[in-house]
Amino acid sequence: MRLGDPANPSRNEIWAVGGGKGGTGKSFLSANLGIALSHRGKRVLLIDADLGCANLHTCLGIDYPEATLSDLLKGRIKRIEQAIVPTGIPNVGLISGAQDILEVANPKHAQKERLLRQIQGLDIEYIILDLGAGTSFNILDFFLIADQGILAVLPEPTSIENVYRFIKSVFYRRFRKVAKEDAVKEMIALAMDQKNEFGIKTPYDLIEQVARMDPGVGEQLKKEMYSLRPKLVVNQVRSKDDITLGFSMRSSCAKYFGITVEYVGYVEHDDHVWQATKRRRPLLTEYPASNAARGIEKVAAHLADHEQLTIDYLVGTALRR
Amino acid sequence: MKPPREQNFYEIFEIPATATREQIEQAYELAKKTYGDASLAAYSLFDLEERKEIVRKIHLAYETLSDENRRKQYDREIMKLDIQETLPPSGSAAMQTTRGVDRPDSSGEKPPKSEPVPIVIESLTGSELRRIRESRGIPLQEIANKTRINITYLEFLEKNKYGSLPPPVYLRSYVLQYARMLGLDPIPLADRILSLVEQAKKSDQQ
Ligand SMILES: Nc1ncnc2c1ncn2[C@@H]1O[C@H](COP(=O)(O)OP(=O)(O)O)[C@@H](O)[C@H]1O
Ligand SMILES: [Mg+2]
Repeated sequence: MRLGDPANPSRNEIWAVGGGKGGTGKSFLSANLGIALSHRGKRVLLIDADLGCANLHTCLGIDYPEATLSDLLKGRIKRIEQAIVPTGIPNVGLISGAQDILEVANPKHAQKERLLRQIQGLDIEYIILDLGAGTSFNILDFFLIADQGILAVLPEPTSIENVYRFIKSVFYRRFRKVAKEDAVKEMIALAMDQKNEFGIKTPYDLIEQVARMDPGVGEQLKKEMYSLRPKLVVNQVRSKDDITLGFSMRSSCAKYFGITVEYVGYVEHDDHVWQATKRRRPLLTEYPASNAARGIEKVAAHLADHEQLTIDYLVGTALRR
Repeated sequence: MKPPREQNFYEIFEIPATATREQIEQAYELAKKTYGDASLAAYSLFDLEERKEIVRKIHLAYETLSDENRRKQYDREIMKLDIQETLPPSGSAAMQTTRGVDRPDSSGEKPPKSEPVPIVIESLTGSELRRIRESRGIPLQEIANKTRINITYLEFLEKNKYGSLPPPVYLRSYVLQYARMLGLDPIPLADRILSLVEQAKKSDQQ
């Protein structure tokens, strides 16, 4: 089937891969999750939304993309279909990242809205957004427009802390968008400061504080909090403890933030990944039988089927090596 | 979502009340790892004291839930089935009793099956009120509708957030109405809640 055929637009599902720090495997996961979905018979569009450091095309072995996201955002290309380049992988297309950083590192709200409408009009079942590092509003906004927001975390302290920071920022960003009242907006802005006078440390505290000012808005924020459920992928695991980390982070987020995070799987640290990277080929086409590839396939299946790991999974789990 | 301090043993393990023995074991192992000393997931969210507190509760939860008899009794306590069966219908006077409602079974001694779990109004807390209300199947919204008390205040009360409640004059009449709907003795309960508010204020000032 031809990619980007708008003849039969249907509601598609948007995934976004983020998680704070650079180098946690966001681009690696984006590309390979897309390929895993295509193996499940789905049509997929990858979008490199890392406006500061676009390199998804490199992961896919494309030297210099003809058209880019910035062409589309800037209106140099009118129709989104024209920005899609083939990847050589059946049923997987790519909109490459902006090459001219200065121009679009900060797209306007209207530009993002327009892009979203264009994406939603595509007759492609899955759209995967590869996000940049950090917690800038652009990144948070792309994460929030996704149906499934995926967080890539490495089993190391700095990455975990970054993911928590990302989670918190994304919730505050969402609350700010929902809240209409100036007083509530102000409260949310105050809450961003960790040492705020109200002692608000978590989205949960914030909701309580807002509910005190306006119970209706408090209820609304609570609903938002329950509906936004980030998905966690632990990448580069080397031990059973690393696998357990996903469950522990899920528990900690529930207890501390009052937020539901779903643990959708892990990917082993695997030398096949850098071997594939060196050849600028995606892991799933180069080494489909590798441990990391199998991990990715499972993550894709969980996400597509809206499932997650349960703790009984840990029993008898050992790395195959 | 309740803070860990207010979570019951099932909530602290994030398992359903119907969890099997095996699920309890798994949850215990995971919880020890998650909140223990070598924790990567929790250290940046909870300080040492908070983690110690959670770990204490985890052990207590495991001791209770892994012992079939103690678990049964604990289940009865949190479900308050006994209370529901033995309480006079709503509107009647107080129940005089001798033991706390929310007493996790740490002692091991347990009352015979039929003995009602007593309510001591003088030592009740907001979260215990919630359990009593739930055991009677009265939705909070219903109380809010009938009494016209803002549901947020009722929630604060049931979450032990005494510092967020309205000034005493209003609060007193709120608690009286709330107590009547639950079939608890209104005046002692109002006294109790106002004294909790006092305490909360004092500890805030420190
Ligand atoms: N599971 C893995 N095993 C081994 N290397 C990995 C794995 N996942 C990612 N890498 C390597 O880590 C580096 C960073 O990955 P990348 O996807 O570019 O991160 P990000 O997009 O988050 O900045 C890449 O060199 C990639 O090949
Ligand atoms: Mg990247």
